Amino acid sequence: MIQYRFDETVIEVQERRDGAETEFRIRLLQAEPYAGRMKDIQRRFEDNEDYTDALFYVYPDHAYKIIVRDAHYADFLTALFKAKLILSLAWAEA
Amino acid sequence: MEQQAYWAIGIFVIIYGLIISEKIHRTILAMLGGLAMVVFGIVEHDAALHHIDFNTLGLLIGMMIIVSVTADTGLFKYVAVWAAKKVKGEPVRILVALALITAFGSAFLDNVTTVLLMAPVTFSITKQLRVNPIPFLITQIIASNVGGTATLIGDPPNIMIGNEVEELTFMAFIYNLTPIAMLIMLAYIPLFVWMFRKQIRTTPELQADIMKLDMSELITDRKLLIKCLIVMGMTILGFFLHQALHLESSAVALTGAFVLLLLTGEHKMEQALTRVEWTTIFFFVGLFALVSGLVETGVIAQLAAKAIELTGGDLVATSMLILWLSAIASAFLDNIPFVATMIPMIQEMGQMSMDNLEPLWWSLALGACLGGNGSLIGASANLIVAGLAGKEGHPIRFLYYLKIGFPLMLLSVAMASVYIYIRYLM
Repeated sequence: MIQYRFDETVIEVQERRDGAETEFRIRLLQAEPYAGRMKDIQRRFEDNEDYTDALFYVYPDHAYKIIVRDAHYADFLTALFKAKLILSLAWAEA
Repeated sequence: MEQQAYWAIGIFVIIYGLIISEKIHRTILAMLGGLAMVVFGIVEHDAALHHIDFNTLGLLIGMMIIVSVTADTGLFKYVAVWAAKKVKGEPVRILVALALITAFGSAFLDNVTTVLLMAPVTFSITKQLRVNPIPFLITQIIASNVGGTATLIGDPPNIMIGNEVEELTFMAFIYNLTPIAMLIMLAYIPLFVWMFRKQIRTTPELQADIMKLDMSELITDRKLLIKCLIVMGMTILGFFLHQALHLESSAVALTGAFVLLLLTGEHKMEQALTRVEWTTIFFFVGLFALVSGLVETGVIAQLAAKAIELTGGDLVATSMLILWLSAIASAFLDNIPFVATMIPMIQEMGQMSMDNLEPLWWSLALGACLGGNGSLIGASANLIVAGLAGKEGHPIRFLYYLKIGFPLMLLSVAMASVYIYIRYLM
């Protein structure tokens, strides 16, 4: 299991397990520079040959729904971490 | 027949058998077969080169470049999501909308390219609606083969026929094949709805989620999109006017492709040229050389004579034979080598006793293109979609597809038979 921490003045993150996937609901409270970074993450997952590793749905007001397959859960969180959208990542006991 | 002809038949049958078995890649086999015809002295080197239709190759390469650059703009995703929003996120109507977009796209782009562009957005929309993507993918396979029938550039058999027969221009294909392709799509749509409506139900909340999507985020590169739209528009206009301009369709496509690369810069050129499906291009090169062995040794002429003997030279019987034979063969075999063999055969018929070849060409085009819907191995687009679906955890079974595709293929060929008869043979 992975635990993560984020800056609540910058981003809102909610996640919900659904079968073999996790649905993230993310909203950026500060567009700059985070919206561009989010776009880069989206491009990274969309430009590979796995079409359903992480599916991005973009809504107005910098809101996102991302459906992430279990096998790519850690990859997705790592991408958020590298983009400084989350502050820390740690393995924890389930 | 001379000894050379038997050698040519032997090489052809072995290569064809190996292509069907799918044990070795078809491009390697076609190239080796074509080279065997030259190496064993069945065809002179220059004659084999003469049989390679560079117009077909140029058209394919040109369109592949244009599409690969345009795909980077997000245009195709934008159109699909726009359509999904227009039908209020209702799954059955989205299924119809995506099938129609695929059919339209396939009329102007290669079928494989079209389904490759549609598949990711289909997975995305169906995941959001939490519905099974298989009905959407199957209807897109079928729509791509029907849409590809409509124009000279829509499907490789049409590209090959159009480039081999001077009178069959881009406009001639539109005038003769677009009406029947549209009628077939019109007949298919209620059947799609009837077949799949119970499998693709969703909730109002999930539909509402589609309606809220931010469209402005879907176009990833606006400047590039404008350049692509201008070049694509000019290229399609060029296809409409190619006869009046005294230009081959390949010259139009390649001009469009390299003007677009000029506008986008060198970095795009490297990427676009890498994305050209060179395996398909070399498959064509090998096939043209392979079939040249049969042409040069007189095998094709003898087959044409036998076909005329079988039908008594009657135009109606010959047209129907070509249409149904092409359809059934294309349902289970690769339609490209089949058409590559049939083209010289029909040309031979013209040199024998038949003077009106037009119904035969349209019969071949309709049979070869529509036949592709008959089974999962009937066309490259079918195999590509099945492969993608399997990889994403939604395998399309051969028999499941056959139960849907084969009856629909028979319906379309029956409609094509009536069309050919009424329009050209009555």
